[in-house]
This record gives sequence, structure tokens and C-alpha cells, in this order.
Amino acid sequence: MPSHLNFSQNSNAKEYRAKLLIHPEYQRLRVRIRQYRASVAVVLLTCYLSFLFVFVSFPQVLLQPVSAQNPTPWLIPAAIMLILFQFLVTGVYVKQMNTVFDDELERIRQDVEV
Amino acid sequence: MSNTALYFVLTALPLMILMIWSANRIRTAAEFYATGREYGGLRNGLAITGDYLSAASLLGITGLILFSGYSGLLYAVGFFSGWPIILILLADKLRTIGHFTLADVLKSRFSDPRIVLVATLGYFPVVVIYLSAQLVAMTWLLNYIFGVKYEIVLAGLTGVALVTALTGRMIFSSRAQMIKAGLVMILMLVLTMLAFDRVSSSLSELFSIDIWFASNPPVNGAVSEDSPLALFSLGIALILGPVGLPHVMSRFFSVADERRARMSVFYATGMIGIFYILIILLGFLTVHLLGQPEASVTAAGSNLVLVRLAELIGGEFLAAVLVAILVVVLFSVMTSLILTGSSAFSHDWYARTVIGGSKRWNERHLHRLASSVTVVFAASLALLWQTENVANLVGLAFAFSASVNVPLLLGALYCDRLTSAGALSGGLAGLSATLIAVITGPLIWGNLSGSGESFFSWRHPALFSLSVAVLVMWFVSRWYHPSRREGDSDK
Repeated sequence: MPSHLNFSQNSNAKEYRAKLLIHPEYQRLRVRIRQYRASVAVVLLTCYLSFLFVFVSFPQVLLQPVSAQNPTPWLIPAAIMLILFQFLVTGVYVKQMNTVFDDELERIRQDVEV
Repeated sequence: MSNTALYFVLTALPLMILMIWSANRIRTAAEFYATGREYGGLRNGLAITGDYLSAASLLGITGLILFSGYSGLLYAVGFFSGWPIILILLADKLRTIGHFTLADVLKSRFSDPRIVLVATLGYFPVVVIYLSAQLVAMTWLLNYIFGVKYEIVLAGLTGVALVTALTGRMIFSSRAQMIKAGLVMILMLVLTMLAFDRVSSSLSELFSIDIWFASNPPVNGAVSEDSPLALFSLGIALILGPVGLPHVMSRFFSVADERRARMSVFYATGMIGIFYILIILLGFLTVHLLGQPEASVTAAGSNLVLVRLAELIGGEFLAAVLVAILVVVLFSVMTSLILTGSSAFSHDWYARTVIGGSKRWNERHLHRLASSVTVVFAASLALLWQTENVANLVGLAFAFSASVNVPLLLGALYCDRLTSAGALSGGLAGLSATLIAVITGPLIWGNLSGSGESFFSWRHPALFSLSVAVLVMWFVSRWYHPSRREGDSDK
């Protein structure tokens, strides 16, 4: 249960929750969070699915050596980069959620309480 | 007692005692979910890593890279990529609406309790197959150490698993998971460094395609024994599958607040990423050091490649330590699978969905029955699949969760038009399609008939069965509206 919706069943809490839910800024924030989450999910899925597509359809592309001196096939750096990139995107997502969105939520909550 | 067995016992025994000593006695799923609440982000992240790091993928993927080359890389990338997707599509969303299990989500969204039953039935093959992969791996490892026949080791392990199912509801605590994660990572680093020391070539030659494919040259230009569509199907199962693992999902909810939950997933993602990159490295090191797969073929199929690498670079001592740590890891995954898998049945479905007066069974008895049935099924499959690569088996378990639980969960969370009837029929269709495809497929039909021939040629049916599930869900939701008075689709 998220902290901003987590309270006992007394009437104060219900009233507070109702106020929060109809607060225009809260509604706007929820839309923004949803859009942000959707776009991050699209980025991650696109990366993985395009890797998968090339992997199954054009193996000869991924098996090409990186350069004449370096016989490593592109597959290896591609796989490792994909893992690192996804880790990076997760980091950006967590940072955005934990700082920007959480701070705004906190501000709106205080606004409602006053 | 041989030296290997002695080293094994000397490592495994203190480890097991340490694990059991730090374990909490846990009686209910709710208690299980709560074990990690006092932990902060980093520590819980390490515990999640401990849950997710599977010895099956460590043993399986290294074997696949040596034996069948190409597709091993897909496993490494796919097992990892499912992870951030869970965080973004599910974990955050589930926390926001305050429901912690698939059953909770489905119950709050649909009035028809049969949907929860379908989801619970969907868990069953996932848990059974995942458990059989652990059993196959553990049996081969113990067979390597003690030299006892596969069937006899398996029978012994099944006995231990049944005892766990019937009596102890003990599960390894978060602390034990952290120790486990730390040990596995350190061990992998040591193995990688020692193996690097042995390889004469430079880093750029390590991945050289000539050496890689010298051991398994592509036949007719095909780099994998699976057809492109079957490989694609595997890729889909790998990214969606982790959602259906009950013992992994539960960790997300064991942290007190969202902020720390996200941080713990972030740390876990980093560590799991390092884990899979190390697996790729180790896979290529085995290609260099063990060489021709024909020379490495043993009864264990491709499952013991890493152990043979350890034996080569560090003698029987290193091999025994590796096996001991892996057995402890596999054992802990086994116990948490048995607990969480059967509590999905007895607790999430039976105790909370079958209402009041009609309860004829004691929840605790039902729990024991469910876990024993799970163990017996898993053991029979482990007998059938003794030469299969364990990463393949995990991929198969993921195919089930990707075709049943994932469409139900995502549909309930994100698709407002999905009706009760649509969810029920779609879930059932996905489950039966996967079952039929797997039973008539290479892994069951092909193994039983002995010839390797099978009706359904893909080893991983997720693309087929997920499409069936989604199509049925869409079609029924769109066209079947018997009566609107139940009002179940608009909660």
C-alpha cells in the first residue's frame, strides 16, 4: 500500500482520501506518471524486441566481426550493451519516480492537509 | 570417501547450518511476504538478487554457449530483460492499487471466482517445471560428487522435497538470501579470473567466432537448431515469464515503502546484470578451455560444463566448493518454490475465494496435498528430462506463465474492456494451448517416443499459446455479453 493511500478506515482518512483524489494537481500528476511509465516501458520493450528480431532473422549481421583486427562478433557487444542500457534506463526511471514525482506528491499531500 | 566428496561435505554442511540457523520459521504466505520489511534498499536488493539468481541459468547457459552457441546468448539477455519490465509495468502499479498477488488483483477486478482458479491452475505447471529444473540440476551435481546413479539421487532428493512439503514450512530468510547472493557472485568472479589466467588469448580473441563455431559449425547456414519463429517464441517467453514466478514476485512487496522498493529493484537489476554478463564471459571461457563439445559430452548433457571448467582450473577442491554452493542455492530455491507455489493454491485461492460454509477441507491439509502433488509431478518430469539443458527447462516454465498469468494480470490491470467471460475463457485457452503444445512437443512427446519426432515442433510454444490466449480474450470480451447485470467489468 503506498503511503499516501495508507490509512485506517476512520472518517477523517476517508475525507482526506476523497479530497486528494479530486485534487486537480493530483489528477494531473497521476496522468503524468502514467505517461512517463508508459514511455519508459515502450523504450525498454522496443530495444529488447528489436534485438530479438535481428537475433532471430539476421544472425549473419550479428555474427559479423567488429573489425578486421578484432574477431569478436557484434553479438557480444550488442548483448552486453543491451543489458547495460536497460540497467541505465531502470536507474533513470527510479530516480525520476523517487525524486521528482514523489516530491510533488508530498507537496500536494501537504496542500490537502492544510 | 573420495577427496571430492570430502571437500563437498566440508563446504556444504556449514553452509546449510548457517542457512537453517538464519532461517525464520514461517507459517503463512503473509509472514513470508513480511520477512524483509525491516531491510533497506541495498539489503533487500541483495535478497531479491539471491532469489532470482538461479543456479539453473548459471549451469544451463554456460552449457548452451558451448554446445549450441548462438541461442545461449538469447537466454542470458532474455532472463535479464524481463526484470526492468516487471518493475515498470507491474511492481509500481500493484503497489499503487495495494494488491500483492495475482489472485488479489483478479479478485478485485472480476466477480467470477473461477478466474482466480484458472490463474492458480496456471501457476501449477510453472512451479512444477521450474522445480523439475532445480531437481535435474541438483541430481547431476550430487551425481558428480558421489558417483551414485541419477535415478537413486533423484529418489533421495524427492524424499527430502516431500519431507519439506509435508512438515517444515521453513523457508530461507532474507538474510540467507543475501548470503547466497554474495557467495554466488564471489564464486563467479573467482572462476572468471582463474579461467582468464589460463586462457592464452587476449580479450578480443576470446569471443572469436572461428573458435566458437569451430566446435559447433552452423548446418546449412543455420546458427541454431531452433527455427527463427521458435527462437522468437523463446524470446517472448523469457521477457514475460518472470512475472509468473511466485517466489520472485513476492519479494517486491516485502519492502515497507515504494521508494525503498524501487531502490532495491534498482540494486537488484545491477547485480543481476553483472551476473548475466559474467555468465556470458564464463560461457566463452569454457569454449576456449574445454574445447570440442564432443570431448565434453557426458551423461549430464550440457549441464555440468561449468563444474568441469572448475575442475580443470582449480582441481577437485574448486569443483567441490562450486557444487556445494550451487546445491545450497538450488535447495533454497526448491523450498521457497514448494511453499509459495502451493500457498497460491491453498491460501490465495481456496481459503480466500471459496466462501465460508462450503469449505470441506482444512487449508493446512490442502496445502500439504498441493505441495506433495507438485513434488511428485516435478520428480517424474526430472526423470524424463535428465539429459535436457536446465536453462531450456526454465524457459519452458516461463512459457506457461507468459501464456496464462501474464495475459490475465496485464489484462486485468491495463485493459478496461476485458470482461469476466473474456478473462476466464482466455486464461483457460492459454493454459490448454500451452499444455497441448508442450505435451505434443519435442520435450515430452519427443522424449517419450525416443525418436525425437513430435507433432508440435517448437520447444518453446509461448508465441503460439500467448496469441491464442489474447485472441480468445479479445473475441469473447468483444462478442459475448450474456447479461450485464453482474456488472463485473466496470470495477
